[in-house]
Amino acid sequence: MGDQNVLTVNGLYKNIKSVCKFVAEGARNAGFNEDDTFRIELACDEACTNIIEHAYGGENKGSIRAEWSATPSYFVILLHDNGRSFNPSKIPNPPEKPQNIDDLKIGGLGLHFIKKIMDDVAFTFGESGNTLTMKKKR
Amino acid sequence: MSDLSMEAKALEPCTLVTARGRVDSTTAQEFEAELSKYKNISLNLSEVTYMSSAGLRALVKAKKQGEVKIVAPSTRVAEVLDLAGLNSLFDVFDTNEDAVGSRW
Repeated sequence: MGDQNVLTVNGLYKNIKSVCKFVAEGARNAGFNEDDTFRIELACDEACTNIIEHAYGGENKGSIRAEWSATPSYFVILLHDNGRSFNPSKIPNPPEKPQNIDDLKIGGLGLHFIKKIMDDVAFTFGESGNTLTMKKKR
Repeated sequence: MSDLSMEAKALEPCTLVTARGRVDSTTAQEFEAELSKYKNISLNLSEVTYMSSAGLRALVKAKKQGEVKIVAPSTRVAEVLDLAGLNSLFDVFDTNEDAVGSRW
């Protein structure tokens, strides 16, 4: 894997699009069609938003390092940050089929999208920061 | 320049709002601010090329404040509404005329 597969940006909302475009290009190279590429881009967008909002607690507090690779079976995306670790299992799932708008709270929707779109999602936490690994079957 | 543009036209009995471009974490605030100006909204999303959960949160917020009817959602918008399981919460119409002329 060469250096062209790694991109580091400052944790700002406006930089998320660059990360998404970078990963989308990798997905297209790996043979995904535009529909799947859109979904992969969406998962990346949600993950980067979560990093800024939950790991860093706001914009401009640290960087996001994105890396993609393609194995024969999977397209793999790694997102790394140096923010505080957060346990995604503590984020409640949004209601499956909400019927009443007034009762609807849609926190956790980003993580819900990531889990629905990607085939494998794993979080690791360590002294060097947090890494989210997302895999999509090719 | 923003990746999102919005245009509103006051009609009776609602305001027809047309959004174009991307609704993501960067533009969702702008999207939400525009929607918050009106109570009953026919919202044309046919030219929205991308929407993330940040956009959906704004839609739900607007729907809590008044009526929001969606017109001709693009494939991408339809997909995120479906992923979130929110389809059933919004009335969806094929044309602006159908939405504006529906029962408010």
